[in-house]
Amino acid sequence: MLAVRNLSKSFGSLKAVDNISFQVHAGEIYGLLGPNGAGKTTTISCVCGLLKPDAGGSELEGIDLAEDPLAFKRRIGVVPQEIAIYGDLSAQENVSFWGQLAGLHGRDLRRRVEDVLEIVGLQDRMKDRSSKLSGGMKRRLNLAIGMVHNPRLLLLDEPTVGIDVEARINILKVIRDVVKSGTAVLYTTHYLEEAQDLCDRIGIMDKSCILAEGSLDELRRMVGEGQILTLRGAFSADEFRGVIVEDGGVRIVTLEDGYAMLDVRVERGEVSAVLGRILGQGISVDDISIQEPSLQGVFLKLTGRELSE
Amino acid sequence: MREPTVWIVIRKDLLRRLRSPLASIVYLLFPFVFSGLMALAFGSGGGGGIPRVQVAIVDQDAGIISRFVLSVFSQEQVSRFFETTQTSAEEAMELVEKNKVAGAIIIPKGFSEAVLDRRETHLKVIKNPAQSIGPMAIEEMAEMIAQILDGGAKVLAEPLERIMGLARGTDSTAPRMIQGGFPTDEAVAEIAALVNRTLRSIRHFAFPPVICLERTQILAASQDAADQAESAAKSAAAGSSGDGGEPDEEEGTSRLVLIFSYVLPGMATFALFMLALGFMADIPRERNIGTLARQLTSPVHASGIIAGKILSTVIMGLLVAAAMAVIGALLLKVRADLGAFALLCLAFLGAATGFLTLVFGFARSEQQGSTLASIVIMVMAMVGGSWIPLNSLPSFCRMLAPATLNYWAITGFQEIMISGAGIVEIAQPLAILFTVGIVGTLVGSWIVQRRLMQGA
Ligand SMILES: Nc1ncnc2c1ncn2[C@@H]1O[C@H](COP(=O)(O)OP(=O)(O)OP(=O)(O)O)[C@@H](O)[C@H]1O
Ligand SMILES: [Mg+2]
Repeated sequence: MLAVRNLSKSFGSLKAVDNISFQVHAGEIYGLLGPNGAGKTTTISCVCGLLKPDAGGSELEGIDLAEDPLAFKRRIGVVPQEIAIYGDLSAQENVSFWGQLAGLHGRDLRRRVEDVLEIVGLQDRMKDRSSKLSGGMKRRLNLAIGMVHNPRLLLLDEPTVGIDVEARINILKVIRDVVKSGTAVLYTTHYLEEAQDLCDRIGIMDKSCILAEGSLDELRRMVGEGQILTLRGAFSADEFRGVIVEDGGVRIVTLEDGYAMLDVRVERGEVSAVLGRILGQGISVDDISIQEPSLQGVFLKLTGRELSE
Repeated sequence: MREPTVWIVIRKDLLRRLRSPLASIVYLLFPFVFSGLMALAFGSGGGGGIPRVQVAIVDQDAGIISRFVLSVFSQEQVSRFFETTQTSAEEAMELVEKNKVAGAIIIPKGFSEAVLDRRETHLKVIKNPAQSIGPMAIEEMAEMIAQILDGGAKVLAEPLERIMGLARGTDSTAPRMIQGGFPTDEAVAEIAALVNRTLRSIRHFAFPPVICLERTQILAASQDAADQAESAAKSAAAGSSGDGGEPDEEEGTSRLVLIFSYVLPGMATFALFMLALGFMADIPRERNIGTLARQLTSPVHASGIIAGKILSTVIMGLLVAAAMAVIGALLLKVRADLGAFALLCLAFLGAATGFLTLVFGFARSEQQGSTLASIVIMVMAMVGGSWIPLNSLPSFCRMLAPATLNYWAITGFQEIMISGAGIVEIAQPLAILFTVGIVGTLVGSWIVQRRLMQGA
């Protein structure tokens, strides 16, 4: 449905997005997961036609953004990272204004405005000035505006930042429901759990590139299928390699001086056997952790850093 | 069929103005309040009859800003309403307790430093419980000064510091500047004060009690004026034909009306310009809060969005101008060619918004654009005859005046109001203002659009 091809965008000498490509299919939530400054918002801005990319482009249902921007924009709904609403208008007036810009009018418009406010649970507060709404409610209004015209593709830029758990659950539920009707969603986030729980496919983005892409399982398989054993200490990589024999049960995911990540594909009892072998050989280890394979591990493997909240 | 973008945007903006009408009301009342004050100040010779509010001022700071506060009270217009006694804190309390003053304003130690450093500080107000209006007036005056200082310190921090440097002699250029015939410290401080005050002057009418206080005076005066509208019209005619002698003492009130109608177009022009500034600053404001970008993700052309913003500003200006005309007609019983008036308003608002689109097209931030625009508007108001009638301005101002938008608007309005001119007679101002409007709008929106697409 959406195809982004070889997209690049620089601000002066800073490359914010560097030659990225990905696709989002109908009825799918595609997550762009990455830390602050990875280039997620820049990607979204290029895809929604707000920024002119230096190279590459986007195509939605066969319509090229550069060739027919209005037709392209008619099919997308954008929910910006910063809440963009008019504080002096009510929730209803806000949604109605953006609906009109999207081409709705008359009874259609009124019905969609009501529907979408109900979907995000703001029907009781729709007459209130939106500056009076709570942060979470504003977030939901921000989301409602993007959905009012039933877009084929929703671009959601960190739509749950800075709100409480309940509001977050509400927003995620709304997004899941929207997708059921065949809408495609491009979702950016820096929350691991969100990407894990919500997205059908995930692109891991760091320093303006997409480093890896796939479903959660595919990504997990990159680090391993067993337990992930992480060790830190005063050992050298060579020393460590001498001790560990990679066989069916143990695989080295990452290894450098003082840091090792192992995929131990065996029963839990075997983990202690592996540990015993390492410690028995006099390798000095300060810190050990055992984890299920997770996106965190994938991110760590790809970037050498943890993705923190 | 989908509606035109322009119309959707205009409707949204008008609705927003309706939701927060205070700004528009302030712009509307400003020229009347200010012209009324001017008329009272210059017209009622000596200010007899208006009881002045007694206020004790305690200056524990003795810095440049407290000098400014004191100088506000010695300003002509202000001193018509307040009589100040400078004294110590204890004595001020005593004066309040003995009901000798309506209240006291205490400028605490370190006040100037705090204001200049933009740290939080307080102007203390002590109100005399035995009086009603006076203390309120003092409180509002203090609040207004606080507003001016707050805004002024932000906008004019740099020039203030420089002027301070000059005043203290710490500025390296001080000796040279003074040798070169630079004004005295007091004069410099006063200039700074004036700039400050004028920049923020619109603010002080936002406080209802001040408006109440001042409006009672004006209504009283214009009631008299209305009674003598006949003779006012006569002396107005005499004034414009140029053969008239000075009005006698008995014609004091008709002189009020004359001054009022003479000053009003200038003030009204200034107010409309400020209105245009306030509303056009939406362009950078909406760029900040993201609503502008969001509109551009809609399936519409950017030109429609910008045109909507410009047109909604012009429409609000026309509405306020129409309300001004109604109030003016009621107060002054002026008859004017409505077609010419409406067209001139449109031309001036077009020119003002066009000019402002250009400014905000180039400006890097709202702060920068608004500051630049306010300074230009103040200069245009000064030189173009908004504050001081054109023929009272020094000759170099009169030479520069035609370069201002205010000049052409004021000339047109005065011709309409005083000489009963129609569209044909004001063709020149109309043509000039429309040209500026069209050029400014086209070039300005082109720049705004280009910058939006570059993500700036
Ligand atoms: N308009 C701009 N002008 C200059 N640099 C920009 C601009 N927008 C973004 N950048 C830079 O581009 C890089 C990517 O920014 P972007 O906003 O796309 O990151 P992000 O992944 O959305 O981060 P976050 O999670 O903090 O929202 C950053 O280094 C940022 O400073
Ligand atoms: Mg972002």
